[in-house]
Amino acid sequence: MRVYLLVDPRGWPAPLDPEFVNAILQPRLPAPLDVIAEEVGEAWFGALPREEAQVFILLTGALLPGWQQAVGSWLGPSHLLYVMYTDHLDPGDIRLLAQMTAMQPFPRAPFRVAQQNAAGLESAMHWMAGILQKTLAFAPSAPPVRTAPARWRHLPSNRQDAYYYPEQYSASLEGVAGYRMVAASHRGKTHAHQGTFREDAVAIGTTSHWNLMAVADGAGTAELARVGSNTAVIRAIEAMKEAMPPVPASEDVGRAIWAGLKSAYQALKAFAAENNVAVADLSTTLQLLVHWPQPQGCLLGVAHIGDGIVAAETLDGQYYLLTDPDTDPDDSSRTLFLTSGPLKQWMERTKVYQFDEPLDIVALMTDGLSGDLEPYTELLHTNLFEALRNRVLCYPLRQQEQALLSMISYDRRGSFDDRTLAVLSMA
Amino acid sequence: MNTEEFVRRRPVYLLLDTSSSMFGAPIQAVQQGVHLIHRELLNNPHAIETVYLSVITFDSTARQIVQLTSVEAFTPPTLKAEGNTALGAAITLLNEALDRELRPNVEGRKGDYRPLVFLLTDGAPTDAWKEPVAKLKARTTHKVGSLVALGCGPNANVTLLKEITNDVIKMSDVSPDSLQQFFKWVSSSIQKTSQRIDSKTDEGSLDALPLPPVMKWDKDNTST
Repeated sequence: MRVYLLVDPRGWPAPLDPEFVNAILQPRLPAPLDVIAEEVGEAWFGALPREEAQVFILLTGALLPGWQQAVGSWLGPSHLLYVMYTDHLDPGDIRLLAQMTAMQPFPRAPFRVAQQNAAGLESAMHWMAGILQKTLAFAPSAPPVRTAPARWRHLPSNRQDAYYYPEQYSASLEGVAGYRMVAASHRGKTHAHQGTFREDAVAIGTTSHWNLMAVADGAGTAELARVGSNTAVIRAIEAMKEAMPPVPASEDVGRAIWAGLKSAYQALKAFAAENNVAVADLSTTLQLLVHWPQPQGCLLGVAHIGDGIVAAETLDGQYYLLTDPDTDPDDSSRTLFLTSGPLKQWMERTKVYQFDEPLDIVALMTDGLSGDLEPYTELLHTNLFEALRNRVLCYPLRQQEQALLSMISYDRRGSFDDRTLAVLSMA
Repeated sequence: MNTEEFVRRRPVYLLLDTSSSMFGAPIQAVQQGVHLIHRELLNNPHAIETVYLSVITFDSTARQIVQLTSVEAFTPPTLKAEGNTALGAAITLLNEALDRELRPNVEGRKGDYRPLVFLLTDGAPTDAWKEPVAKLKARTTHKVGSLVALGCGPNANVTLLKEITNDVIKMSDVSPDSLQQFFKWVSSSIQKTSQRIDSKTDEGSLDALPLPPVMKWDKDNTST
């Protein structure tokens, strides 16, 4: 069926070329269409095509008598008519045209071209293109090329590296006074995607009186962050063990934390000097804990440099944040590292607390985990402590490591970092 | 562990000059540049999860033609070049968008990251721009993390752009190639922003300190 675009330019305020109107139509169609665009005059109804046709007509002048009979006998299943008109036409004629064309397939009420300018033509051609897309079977247009979003990769880290650390790590230990320790560290999405190393580290230890835990988060920008974090936790635990005298007094808890800080700090300086690397390449946060159970309650020594949190909960569900992490409220990616300040500054931060009631759970964790637990008031109890009790601590110690690893290796949008959690709990 | 998904977003606002002087090849290059940024971000799973894009165009008026949208949901808009250079109106719109679209820090939960703003213009503003710029600089919430202005073509007023931001890039021509370079750079800077920033090291003296005192845990201070 041919498509005609008939234009009666008499009432239009400017010259109106049918081909110009056709040019406005074409870009609005899904594909170029062969349209017969012709100018008609006041006797347009005598010029309607005989062949099968869809006729779109733009009328801009009053209709001559006789149009009704001509149009009425022309209309039929193979002759479709769609009218666009300006206000020059008599409303009665428009009503009549509407009635006559209402019976044809794809009926459309005549379209009023309100503005006699380019904008008016554009909206009329938009209307016409809409009808043509219904009446003609245009081939569907090619779908736009869309880039598929990239997926996360899971690349192994290099086992041949001189400073290789496994992608997951876990440890557990029977502590003193019926406490148990379990720790796990999981490589985050960023490192898995790039095939780089887990930079978090954790170590646990025990003496005849104390339970010891250390957690560190190597700086993402530091070349040997994994060496920094692992060295720091291992050396700190060793030093805190050695710092316990045969008969410890309460002030020895603070001394032990100092010894741990000092040993970790010096170990990083020494490593940098021996291997000719910058100390900044070993940048790491550090959290140290000495837990000394007492007949009632406990003594707790903590030091915390950088982000992450150290939290504890009593049996009745009260939780405490034991340290003030170094976080920039405006930019969470900024924090402090063990080697970014003088040792003295970190020693001054050491806190020793005495609790009169026993702590049920004490947890040290890096920001990869604590970031997902905000706000703490809502999530710390349910998503950390209750989750630990229900999913990890209910198992025998040996199985707790695997349970803890699976608890911290969840996938979450916007959470990319390594996650490390060290847990001290009452058996 | 946590099923409730609250994601800290990295908002990126593109302020694009669509005045009539950009007509032709330049506006097409900008159009392709926006496509390029979108394509590269789609190729980076980090960006997919955190970056949110918005486009503000300015000609005789300013319009936010794409509201802050995730990379996956973003559809590069079609740009048309016409009219003047209402840069001031664009900055006003940016101020409003920052207030409306960004999530603030609330108690215990950090809000969106600081927004990045990239401004591209080839001319001098034709409207009042000083007051909106002063407002932008004086923000106390949702401060702009970084604002980079690209002045391209012979008519770009670099002196004026320097009053808006210290980070001004001058490009003498408006060729598609150089614009593409700029958009490549924009895309890589967006992708780099999640890096951790190392703070300064400062080696101090190791004087003897008093031992830390044993403190009674004060429940009322920090408890639930």
